[in-house]
Amino acid sequence: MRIEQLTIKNFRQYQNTVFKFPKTEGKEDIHIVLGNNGVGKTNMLNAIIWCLYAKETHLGDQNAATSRINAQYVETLRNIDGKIGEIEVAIVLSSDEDPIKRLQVKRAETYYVTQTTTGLREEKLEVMYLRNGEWNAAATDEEAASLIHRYVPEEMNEYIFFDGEQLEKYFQQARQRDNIAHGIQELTQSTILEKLARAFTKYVVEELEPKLRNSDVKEVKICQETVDEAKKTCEDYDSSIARIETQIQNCERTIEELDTRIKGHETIKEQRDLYYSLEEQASELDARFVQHKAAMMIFARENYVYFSLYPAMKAYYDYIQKQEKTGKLPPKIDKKFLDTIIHDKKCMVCGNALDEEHLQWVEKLQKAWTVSSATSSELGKSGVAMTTFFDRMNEYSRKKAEFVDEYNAIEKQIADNAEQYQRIGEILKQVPNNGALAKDISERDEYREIKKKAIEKHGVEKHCLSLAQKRLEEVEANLRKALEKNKQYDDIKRRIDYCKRCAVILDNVKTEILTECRNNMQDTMFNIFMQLLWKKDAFSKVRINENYTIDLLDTYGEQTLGSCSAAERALLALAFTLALQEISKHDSLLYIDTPIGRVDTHNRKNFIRVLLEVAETKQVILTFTPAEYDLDVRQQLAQHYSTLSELDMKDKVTTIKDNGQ
Amino acid sequence: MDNNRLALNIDEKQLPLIDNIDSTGYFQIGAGCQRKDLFAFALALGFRSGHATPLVKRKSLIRKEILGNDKYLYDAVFFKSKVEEDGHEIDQITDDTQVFGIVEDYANTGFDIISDYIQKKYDEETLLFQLLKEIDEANKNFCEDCR
Repeated sequence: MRIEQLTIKNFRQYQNTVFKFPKTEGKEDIHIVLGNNGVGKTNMLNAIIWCLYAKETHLGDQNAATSRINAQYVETLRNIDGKIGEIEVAIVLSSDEDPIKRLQVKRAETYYVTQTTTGLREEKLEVMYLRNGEWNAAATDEEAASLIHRYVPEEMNEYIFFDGEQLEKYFQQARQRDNIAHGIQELTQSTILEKLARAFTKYVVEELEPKLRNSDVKEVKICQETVDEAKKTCEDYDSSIARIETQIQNCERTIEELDTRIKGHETIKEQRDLYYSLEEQASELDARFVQHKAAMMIFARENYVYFSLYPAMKAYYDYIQKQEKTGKLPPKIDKKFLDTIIHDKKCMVCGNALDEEHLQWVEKLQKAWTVSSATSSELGKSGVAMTTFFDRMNEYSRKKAEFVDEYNAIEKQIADNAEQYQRIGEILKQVPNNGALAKDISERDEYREIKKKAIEKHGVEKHCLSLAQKRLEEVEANLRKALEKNKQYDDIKRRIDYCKRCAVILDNVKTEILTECRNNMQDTMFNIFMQLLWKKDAFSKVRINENYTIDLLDTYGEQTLGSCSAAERALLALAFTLALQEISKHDSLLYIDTPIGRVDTHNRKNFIRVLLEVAETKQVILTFTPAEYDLDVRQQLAQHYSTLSELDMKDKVTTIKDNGQ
Repeated sequence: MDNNRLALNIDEKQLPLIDNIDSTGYFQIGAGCQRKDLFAFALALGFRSGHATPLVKRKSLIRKEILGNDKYLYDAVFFKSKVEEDGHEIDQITDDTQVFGIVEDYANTGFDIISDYIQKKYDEETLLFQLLKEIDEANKNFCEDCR
């Protein structure tokens, strides 16, 4: 199957553009479309998908927000009377193998255009086909859809029309399982077997079992009701398990997506956390340092007072000492204490009464105090104060050492902290989106936790299900016995047994076919992959697992999918598509939007070589940016392509600059 | 004269400096520090410089009652400057007017020194380590005496 012609009218950047893709004699069936970013390469792909399936699957954010109808065209309509605008995309497809040699699909939309708004008025699909040399029109929408499905089944479109970026991520993202499972199910048509099995079950449930449930025979009626209950329990567990499995799968998908984003930056969260914790620590340390310096200042100020005044204090203290030694200072005793002793005539220390001699001695002391001069009193008190000051000065060296040690420790902590902060800051600077990555890591850890809990719950539910199934077997056995006893139910019993056996057989066949197809797919895929690959000794096997995950094994049998290059991943996706097309015998083309955008310069040559090989057997349409279509690529393709169209944009409208052959 | 009603004075010209210290909190001698401690620091600076600057216009700063043991430091300064060096009578030590007079003059010099630190934007940390260095020197003498 080939695309012969594509006409795009008033669709996004396009106003009236016709792409023709004829195969040139002596050249490969390869067609090149060149255009800068934003000129309309991806919207060309969108136009094809929209024309065939009335949807656009490759929309960027900007496109998703804008109307499909060309903006300049809408502006023109606003200024004229007509005010009805039309979008039209038409594709002419051809096939050598199909009795229908040509198929023309034309999809159109008309819009009301007012001064301020644009509203969809009508959608139209027209399909014409060429059979036995005659053009016919599809009479109904169903026939039109069926003809499109025959040429390009919607389910297969993602194996025909690729976005280069998606190609690289084909097996890297969580969508891989959907892609593969979907592809294999399409290929085997296993859904038909599923539908058949369901039909048998439905017949038992809706037609046969109600007869037993409404039976006049009490034993049969009760047994059937018990079976119903047991079945209901099993179904509840089944749906609960299915829900948990979906939850686990969703978790796995999200974890995979997040892992892909996180890859290579696993420690970024810890580093960010550390970075902000260092920032906090820095503030705390600064505050502590300020406080400590304040305390040191107070300490220094107080001691400065004592040490600066020390010469005066020492001279004064020496003088007081001298006065004390010569008895010129009053005794160091409390006057009130003496008054009490004299009044009570009792020693305040031992409590004994004082004799006359001692009383006189105390009275003498009291007199000495009373008669001492104000100067002596001042000197006495000063002497005591000086001693206190000297005691404090004695503490200076020890306290200063403590203060200085703490000062140095904080200063060192601040320096260490700053050094580490700067180092981590440099690391984080190299990862501009570190905030988003850290968020991804937190999210991934949360999903891992949810998955863990779901797996635990899954185990419990599975156990409960097996118990419920045992119970169901028992009650079904009881029902069978009851039916055997009541011969009038022989026919129903026979039919139930037959239908159940059929459902089981169909299920087994389905599994068998899927397994066989998976095996075929993985072998074919690996063979094609090896043909496409330029580094052939690195891989030993492609394995499609039961859960439709892909393993790409190296020569040691280790999974390498996560570590292989973008080009290798794109090739593997291409191999999968080609294997699917080969096994399904589906005659299709290959359309890749910017195929080498993500492939490094070294591997581009190999990739183009592969595409040229593919083009020997099928039509290949490739779009490139001028940067991708560099000298090497141009030289490699120069002698091989059938057509080259260069897109240009004037006044925001895309045109073909040169549709040279 | 009733000694109990006495107060320590500063020169009127130092009032803006006190305001400045209070607002900036320079070297922990501002509003958070007791006035008697600020005065003692200024006295220490002035005494160590060896110059007493007489007050031109007196302004009351601290009441005598709240001086506590600092009073004996002033006695020591009076003793050293007036009794030991100028030959005054020791009994004059009980005359607070005289004691306060000499310490106010030294403190006046000290306030000028603080004003100089602030005007020259003398860094607090530099001042801290300079003071500690001076104390360390003085501590050597103190330790010698203690032996």
